[in-house]
Amino acid sequence: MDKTVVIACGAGLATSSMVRDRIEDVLSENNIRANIIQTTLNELEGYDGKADIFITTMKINSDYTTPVVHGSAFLTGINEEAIIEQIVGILK
Amino acid sequence: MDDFEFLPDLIYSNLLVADQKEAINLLAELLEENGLVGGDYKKDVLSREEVFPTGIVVKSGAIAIPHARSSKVFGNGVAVGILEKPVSFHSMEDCNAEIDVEIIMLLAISESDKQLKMLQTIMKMLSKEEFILLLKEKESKEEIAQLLNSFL
Repeated sequence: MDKTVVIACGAGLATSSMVRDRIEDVLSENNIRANIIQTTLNELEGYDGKADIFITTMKINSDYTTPVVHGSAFLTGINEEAIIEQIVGILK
Repeated sequence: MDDFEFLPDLIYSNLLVADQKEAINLLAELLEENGLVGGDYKKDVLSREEVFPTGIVVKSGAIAIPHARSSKVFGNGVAVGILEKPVSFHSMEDCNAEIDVEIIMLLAISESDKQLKMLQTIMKMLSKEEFILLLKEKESKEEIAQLLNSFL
């Protein structure tokens, strides 16, 4: 079954689009089929338990059932490999 | 849409400002003068910055990419300020942390026609090791635009 990946940033507009662009590459390189949803951090709660992973640009304190990965590495290029490994580990 | 490029008219080199508010106001005026945003955009950006800040530490220093979802955006564009002296922004990754930012890119993103190439280009720049250093070496707006456009 296809996975559901939710990418969230403040406005659900700029940084989530940048991260989405990289995530699409990572998923296809790893043969992971997924629906990607882009949203705002405020609306993340509505996807809890329904998505396979949350990727956020901000560190968030949460008790979500869905695992949360902090994806700002895709913007900065710092520690990107470690984050990719973590995401692939959750989705495979 | 493939017609995005950085314009000298939307660039401040050696911008001397007291704080992020002054910087955002000046950069928003550039976007306004070029018909990309309406007069309220700066307010929308400043209030969004308080809740979801946009400072990012990258390999070569720190940069901020303020922007807001706003009905006052009429087109896609980036106003760039190369700061004479860094100003403080809160960090996108950790909103309690403050970072000294040397470059500000105020984004105007049209919701109906999001300019993905613009965002991809900025992302490519951010992860480039010597990016901020290279930008700070340039003196004229034309040279800065040329350097930014080399990432397209």
